[in-house]
Amino acid sequence: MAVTPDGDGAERDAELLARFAAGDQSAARELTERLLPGALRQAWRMLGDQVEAEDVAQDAMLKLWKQASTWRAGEAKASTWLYRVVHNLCIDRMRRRRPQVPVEDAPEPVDPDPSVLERMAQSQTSAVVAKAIGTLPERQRQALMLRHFEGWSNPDIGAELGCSVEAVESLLARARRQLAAIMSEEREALGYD
Amino acid sequence: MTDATQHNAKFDLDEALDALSRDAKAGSPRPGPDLVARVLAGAAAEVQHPLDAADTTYQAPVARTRSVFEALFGWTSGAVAAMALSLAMGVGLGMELDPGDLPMTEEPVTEQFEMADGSLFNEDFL
Repeated sequence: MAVTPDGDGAERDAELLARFAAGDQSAARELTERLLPGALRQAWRMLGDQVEAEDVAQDAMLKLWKQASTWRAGEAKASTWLYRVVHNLCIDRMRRRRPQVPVEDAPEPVDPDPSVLERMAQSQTSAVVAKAIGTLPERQRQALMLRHFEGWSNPDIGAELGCSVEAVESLLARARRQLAAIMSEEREALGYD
Repeated sequence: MTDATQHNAKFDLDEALDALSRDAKAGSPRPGPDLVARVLAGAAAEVQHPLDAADTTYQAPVARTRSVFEALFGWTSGAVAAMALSLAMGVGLGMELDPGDLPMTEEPVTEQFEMADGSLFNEDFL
């Protein structure tokens, strides 16, 4: 089941969280079915390691259970909240992988690691697109990933990135322009007109 | 690899992004029964003990600061050891610096102390 933060999905998540907070275990099961695959997928894309990704997804879901009793429906969407938690947990792990560099000096880890995306590409075109995504500036890449890979709406992306919907549209437009420019250079090699 | 290479199609960025997204979803791991069980166990624990994390009003008193002796030897032994050490230091200091041994002269204070120390080894002391 593809879960996006939009519309009915978000309302259903909020309803299930309220039921879980009231002690309904079946709500936890349904929430797990709805949210865990996305959390695991996101962690996997960022970390490229299944064991670590599973640990992160589990930790994030445990945080969600703890949050349920104080959850305020309408203030946040469970899926976007979970995305943020998974993102932060992954960043923490990526920083710990580089112990030789002081945390404050370490560059911000890339979300997601382009090499992980490239590994997942099943065709030559997909591999080239994945590589091209890896060259985008961080915020453009995040906006593009949330839009095309997570299916988020522009307002949700704006909330996540801390910018307006217009700024999101601008980020996406610039990302697409840059991707198109890169792909036009590769077009011949890939056999397109 | 199945690609547009064979049929020279028009390149469509949206199509390419969709294809990559499908690849990424297909290539990502799915939660196995073990992971699902761990997550649900966490949920069950939270339902059974929902106040563990929140209800700290009547729990977790502020930790009492422990002295080095207390940490090393326990509360009673630590207290006794601390008192004994204080007593020993007081007695020792009193013996070393008997005011009667310090002559009121113009000599530098360091020499006065040397004299006081020397007095510990004279016949009267021994």
